Amino acid sequence: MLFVKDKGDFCSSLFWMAVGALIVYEGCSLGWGALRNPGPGFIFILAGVLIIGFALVVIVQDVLRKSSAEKRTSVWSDINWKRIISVLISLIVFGYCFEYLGFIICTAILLLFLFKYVGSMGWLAAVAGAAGSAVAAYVIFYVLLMCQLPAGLLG
Amino acid sequence: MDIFEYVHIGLSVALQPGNIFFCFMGVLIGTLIGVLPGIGPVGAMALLMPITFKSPPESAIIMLAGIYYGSMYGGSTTSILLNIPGEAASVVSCLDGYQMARKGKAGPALGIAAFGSFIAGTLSVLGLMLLAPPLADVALKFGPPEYFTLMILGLTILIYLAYGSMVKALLIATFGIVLGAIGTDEIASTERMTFGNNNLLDGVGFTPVVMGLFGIAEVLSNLEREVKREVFSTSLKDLFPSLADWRASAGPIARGSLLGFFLGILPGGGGVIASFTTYAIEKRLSKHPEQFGQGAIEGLAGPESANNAATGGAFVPLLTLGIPPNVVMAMLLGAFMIHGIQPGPLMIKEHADVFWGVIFSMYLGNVFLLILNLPLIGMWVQVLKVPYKVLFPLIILFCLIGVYTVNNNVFDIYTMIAFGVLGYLMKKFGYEGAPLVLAFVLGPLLELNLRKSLIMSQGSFAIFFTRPIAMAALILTLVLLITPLIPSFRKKREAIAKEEQ
Repeated sequence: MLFVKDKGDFCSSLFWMAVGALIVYEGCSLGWGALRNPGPGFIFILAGVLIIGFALVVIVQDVLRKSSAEKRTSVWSDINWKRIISVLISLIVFGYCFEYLGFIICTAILLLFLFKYVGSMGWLAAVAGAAGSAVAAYVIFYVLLMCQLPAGLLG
Repeated sequence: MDIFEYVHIGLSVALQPGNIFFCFMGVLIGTLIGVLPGIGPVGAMALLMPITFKSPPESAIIMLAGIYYGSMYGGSTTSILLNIPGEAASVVSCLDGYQMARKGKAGPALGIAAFGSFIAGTLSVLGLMLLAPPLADVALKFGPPEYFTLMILGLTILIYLAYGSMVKALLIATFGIVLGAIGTDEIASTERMTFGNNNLLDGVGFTPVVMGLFGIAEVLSNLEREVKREVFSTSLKDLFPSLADWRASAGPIARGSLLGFFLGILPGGGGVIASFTTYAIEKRLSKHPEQFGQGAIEGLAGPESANNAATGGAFVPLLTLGIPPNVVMAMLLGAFMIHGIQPGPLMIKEHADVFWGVIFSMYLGNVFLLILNLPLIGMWVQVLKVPYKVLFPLIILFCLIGVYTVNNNVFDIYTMIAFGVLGYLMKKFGYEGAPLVLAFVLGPLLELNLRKSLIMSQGSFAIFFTRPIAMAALILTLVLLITPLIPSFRKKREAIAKEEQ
């Protein structure tokens, strides 16, 4: 790590090398075939090797580069991780509950959470916004546009 | 039938009050979709397709087509005023459009984008009308080696334009090809990298990938810090470009229109590759390439024209061959078939009213778009001024609905979330989303054509060098890949990338 100038590049390259190795492994299990009749694994093996190669080049470029550490750290500073993780968790929970609870309930809860806890709006505005948006979305997409949306508990 | 009969049929269909209404609704929704980041024409078309089931086929296609080329107009508004591309083909417009806005030239930027789009859109429809049958003949002569090498060239051009590391762009593009290959192999019918998940048998969905990378990732990036969004306002009188602006833009608009139209015809082409390719060409042709990325009007006029011209070009293979060149056209193909119409060489004869009605409605649509995008720019600016804490939940909601309604599958929601995280991390680690998406779209065709080429040549790669078009494309690709290795070129590229970052 002494020669690594940019930890971000190094870590991301290691990640891509692992991804490339997985792709090559999957490609080998599918079969390379022959050049005159490439098999289903042909493109995976080729692409996986290229990804590993490119990742190695990124590492080599970083080692040979003079200095760039300051630029990368500023990208990670002062990030409100709570907001980002909150949004991601809310989306995952939404996906999990969507077909069970139904469109209106799920949407209203999600929007309330996003307006209130992520957007830091007041309770009145958040509740009104969430309820209004959920109903409006229901009318527009389900009633008017006849999109197939799960009714869930209200069905 | 001669051209006058085509015009008569087309106008008689396009000017019916119902079709005028559908055309207007399509371009209005398309513009709104283009303005709002987080949802693109594919998602919008998926949402609105059900309402077209009960309408006449020409009305349905007119509206859906309007969404497509309308979104190209709308996408430029957020690119210029907010530095956020409303949709993928407007990414390039951020480079110089936003810089023009920062220098107090938001009006001329919006104006030239709108006028350039109108001119290019109109010219492309004219091209579609006049050249569709013979162009389809030329495209028919392209074989797998030509398709493969042209797609490689298209990808390489995009990668060449990547800011910062070309190696990272190559890496992420290669990953995009892998993503596109996931699913059932077309030739061998075997499952590839599905990990036993039936949801992946048809491959990774395009809509979740794009919405994740460009919608959710963008929301996450915008939420990580409290950032005051600078929205540039301008009055109507400032929207008309000056004579100098027109002089500078005339060439790029003309070249962008021509290039965009032809690139739109090619499978995997379309607005994204057209806009990037045009940008690269204008930068090369410019006497002041260092101004690109600093607010050069040529860097906006050319790509904006190209992405609109590509919409017209994209209709050529769909209407004349029945082959959709991109996902948006694939949605339209689905709409056609739902209405019992098979696009292809016979469509001009069997459904002349639909064929020419759709084409002539696009002339009308371009007029509507010019009206919507200039005098109503104030309205779109008001949309953009909505506080982000109000906007982002609605963007997320649109993304969720858009993704879910494509297949009615919750798996697509999870896929979108995963690509949202990936897109966010890619931004952090310096990887661009555009090469991944383009490679993802082109990947299946690229692989298919590579394998077909090798089957044709009995395993010999010489096939790519013995066919003139394929060889020319390969030589250009090699030039683009090699020039950054030359020290003088590399230093120039690094210097420009540094200034632009």
